Amino acid sequence: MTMGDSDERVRRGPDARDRDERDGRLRPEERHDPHAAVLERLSDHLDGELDEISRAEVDAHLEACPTCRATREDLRRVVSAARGLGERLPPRDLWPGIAAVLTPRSDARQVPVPSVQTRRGEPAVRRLRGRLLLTVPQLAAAAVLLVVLASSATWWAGTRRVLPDGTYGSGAVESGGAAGGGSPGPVRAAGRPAGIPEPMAEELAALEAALDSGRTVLDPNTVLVLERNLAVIERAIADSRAALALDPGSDFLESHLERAYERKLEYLRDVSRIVALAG
Amino acid sequence: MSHSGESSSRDRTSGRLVGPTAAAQLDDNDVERAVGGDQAAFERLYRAHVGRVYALAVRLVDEDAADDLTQEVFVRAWTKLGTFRGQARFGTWLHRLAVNLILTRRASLRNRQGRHVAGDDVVDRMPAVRLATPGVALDVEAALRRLPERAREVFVLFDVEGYTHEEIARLMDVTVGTSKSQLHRARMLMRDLLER
Amino acid sequence: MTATMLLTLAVGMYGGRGPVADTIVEMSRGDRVTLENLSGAVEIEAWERETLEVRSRDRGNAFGVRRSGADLRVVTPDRDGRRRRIDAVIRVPRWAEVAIEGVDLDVRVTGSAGAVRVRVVTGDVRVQETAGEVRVRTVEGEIVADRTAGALFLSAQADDVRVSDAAGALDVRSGSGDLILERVESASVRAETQDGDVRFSGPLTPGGSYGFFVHAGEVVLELPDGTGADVRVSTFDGEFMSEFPVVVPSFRSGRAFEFRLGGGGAALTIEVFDGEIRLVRGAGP
Repeated sequence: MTMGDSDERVRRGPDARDRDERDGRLRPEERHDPHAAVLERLSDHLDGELDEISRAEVDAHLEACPTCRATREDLRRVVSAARGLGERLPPRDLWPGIAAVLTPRSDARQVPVPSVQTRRGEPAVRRLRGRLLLTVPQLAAAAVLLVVLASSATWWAGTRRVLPDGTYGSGAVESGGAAGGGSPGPVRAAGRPAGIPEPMAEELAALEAALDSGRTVLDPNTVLVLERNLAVIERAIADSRAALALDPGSDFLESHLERAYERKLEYLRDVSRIVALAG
Repeated sequence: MSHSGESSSRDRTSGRLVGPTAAAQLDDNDVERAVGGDQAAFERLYRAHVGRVYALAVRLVDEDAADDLTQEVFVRAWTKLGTFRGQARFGTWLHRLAVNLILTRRASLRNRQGRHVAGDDVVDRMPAVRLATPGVALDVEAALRRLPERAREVFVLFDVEGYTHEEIARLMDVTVGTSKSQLHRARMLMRDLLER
Repeated sequence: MTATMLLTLAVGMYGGRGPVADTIVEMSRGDRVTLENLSGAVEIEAWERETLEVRSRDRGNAFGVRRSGADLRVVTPDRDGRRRRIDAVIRVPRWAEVAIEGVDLDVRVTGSAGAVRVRVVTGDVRVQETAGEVRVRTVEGEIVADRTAGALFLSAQADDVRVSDAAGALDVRSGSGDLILERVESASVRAETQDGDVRFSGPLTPGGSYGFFVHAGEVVLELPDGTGADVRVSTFDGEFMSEFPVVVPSFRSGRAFEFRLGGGGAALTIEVFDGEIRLVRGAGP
């Protein structure tokens, strides 16, 4: 989207020196120095960005002026040289460095936390290994290590219990030395539902049905965009559910999953509004 | 979009050169697989496109940073694969991601180090005459490296990579007018630098 | 309320170039400007006058304004209800509320102090120098906010959200885009994305509340020396790196841990399902 005068007013610094967007027409003062005017516009002329009148003005000048013609030819050669630049391979193979980030890596300064005990031999989630690494300034590393070792016994102290109201709760046993008063973070309700709350599940189903019917009224490109966005959300939900299966006692994972469902709901509401707009 | 983007590549198994359309189809298969978590497929995508990404990184920043930047681009691409919409070619999508990432990193590199990279004001104090050893022409890549930052960015994006002024304005968060004047400035400087 | 059509065509030529003024309408305090069902590009600029002025860049396309109570609707003369193209600069009083809804529409809003609401399916939205509450939603399209003072609620499903030099409360979200929040001075920040990175820089206010939630991606927080915060970090498969010294007093079940930065004060929550968390030292205030 091209922004006009207002954008120029707002910006300061180097931009203020730039000429206005005036389709390349000569400003009054430039009529006295046609060379400067033409030189300024040579790139636009080369790129076909000038309107008819300006192009004609520049053409006329070029016909009569060998200096400016030579400059234009120089610019054309610069452009041609630039276009000739091709690919360049890095001096060494960068793939190992990339692959390392996509897979587990080890680093001397990192403090590994005891890894997930998979339940009943379930396979690990795609790309997710369920481990937590900490990298902290050297001095703090020792302190962290001690804490980790001390609390590793309580790390997995999350056993699911059925609470009196029939919902699941995490039976987390907190290790000693809980963070000093005014503990931050969201307050977690004790009895969290095991799956999606009923009303949410109903609305989700209704909205999914609406999207289905919406396919016929929306143009195919829009449908493609909407579906790909939905796929991102679905993937987050799938990841979260798989992780929760590995670690059912986790407050964090439960709330993370809930948040993913909320995002899905929000998104499908947006989509149904779009369908309504189009219908 | 990019005249330098639609290049041939080598077939992954036979090594034969294939045209741009066939190359794009090979990409599509690998993208599907990579989305599903297949790292070998993603590696093939890496091999097919690293040349273009690395070239962009070197030209927009420098050789020192280019390795890290290139790696970051591919790591980011892996993370965002799920959002690849399939209307544009994978190479185009990857390239845009690379430009965005490199321009952002460049800005934060500049801020953090407080380094006075050749900004627009520096060039006005530089002599207007050639900076190369007299009698020896700089090659284009070396000359490019001497351009002040913004002019260089626009020059690389427009003349080397084939973006339009509108696209550049959006990518660099400047006006189309700025893009045009920076391009012209770059070309005039390049002309000086390349003169024998 | 009867809908009255106010159509004042002021055909002025500004040096042969610039947009043509199509419509000028008087407004009174409490009025709202609405655009619906349009595609193209629209720039909203706040000014000191008490009038609404629509200047179309597309000379073939003039616009009218329909008043319905306090609602001023920018419409095209075409009555068949189909989506129409707009390429216009619309000047509104600084206090006016603005509501824009479109399908394929780029939007830019400058200088408003009234509430701004923008919802587009596809289109980039930019908001700058605003003082009121701003709500923007896009499905596909970047959202950029710069030098804003009011509360921001920004949600871009498939693209990035960039905020710089913001002062009000922030609630920014994306599905598969990055959230880049720079030089934010606010006591309340919530940033959430599924596939994407979050970058934040700015001071943390004592007593303020800051939450960063990412499914797959990284969170990088650039904080000044001397920052005080009570921090809670949760991650399923992640890596936590800090340039600030961190001593972890406890691990809670399910991979969450808490620690105190400096003397504490602000509440900071970071949750990354799969990715890195980095706390880096920023330039001090």
